[in-house]
Amino acid sequence: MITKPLRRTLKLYRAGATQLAADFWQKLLLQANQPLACQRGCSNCCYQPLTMTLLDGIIVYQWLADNHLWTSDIQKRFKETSDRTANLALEVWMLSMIPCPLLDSETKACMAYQARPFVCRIAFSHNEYFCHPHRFMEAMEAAPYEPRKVSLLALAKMEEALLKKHRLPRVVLPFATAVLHGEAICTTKADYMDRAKLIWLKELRGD
Amino acid sequence: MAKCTVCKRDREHCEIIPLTEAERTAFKRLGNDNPPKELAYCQPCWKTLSDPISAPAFMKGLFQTQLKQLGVANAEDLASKFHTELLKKASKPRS
Repeated sequence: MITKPLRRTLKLYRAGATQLAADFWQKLLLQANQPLACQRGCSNCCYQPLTMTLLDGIIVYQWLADNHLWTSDIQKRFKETSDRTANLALEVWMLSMIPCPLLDSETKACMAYQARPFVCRIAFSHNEYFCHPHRFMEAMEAAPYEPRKVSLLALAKMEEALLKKHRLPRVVLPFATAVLHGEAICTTKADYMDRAKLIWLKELRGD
Repeated sequence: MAKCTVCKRDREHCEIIPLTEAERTAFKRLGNDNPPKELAYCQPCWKTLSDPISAPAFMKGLFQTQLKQLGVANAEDLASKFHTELLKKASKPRS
């Protein structure tokens, strides 16, 4: 159930994230003297671990449902990925090459590009060699992610402040799990806080 | 509660795999004088290792990363060969 305060929070969060992403790209393109290696069809970053918050999960779910893409096939993919990535250590996830459930295996493109989470919106690379998940140790040594860290921290602060107004916690989850919880919030009587409590209980039980 | 062999985290409900004498001897041959009697795998890692697609990918990645850390020049080629072998084994029907 999307309550009125949550609807308002989602609206503000969306606007804030769009602004932060625009600022990020403006800064990056002004500063960078190297061309970007990213191009359509390269899906290396879609195999990297992706976590996001419950708010992002709601946004992605709503977009998929509004665009009639929340089909039984896609739901199955989300459930399988959620099951495979729940509580999985990030290093193991990275090496296991688990594809994002929104990656179209034929076109190698994102099925929800317009509604992709903030982490994906600010993903970039100057050298595709480092994007493969099996080269993450080398990529960490090359440390090309500093500008992203700053933007991610800014978004986290903004989200926390927005949620705090309504005494709601910020919950970070694996991507597929966040979208499934987003679906539950949008389609059942359970509200944001109910789902957050459920997630904490699962965490405590070690599910 | 046990320490997972893969992710090294202390987790509950681990899958415990006892090692055979032959496996313990193999550990000793690799330089581990005091090999464990059993190996523990936490549920998330166990799921990854039970999957016929993600398990070979994980093992390839781990192999490649370790070879690179040791400074092996053709680490990626060796890891790819290892991956092909693992896929062949993984696709065999269980009987």
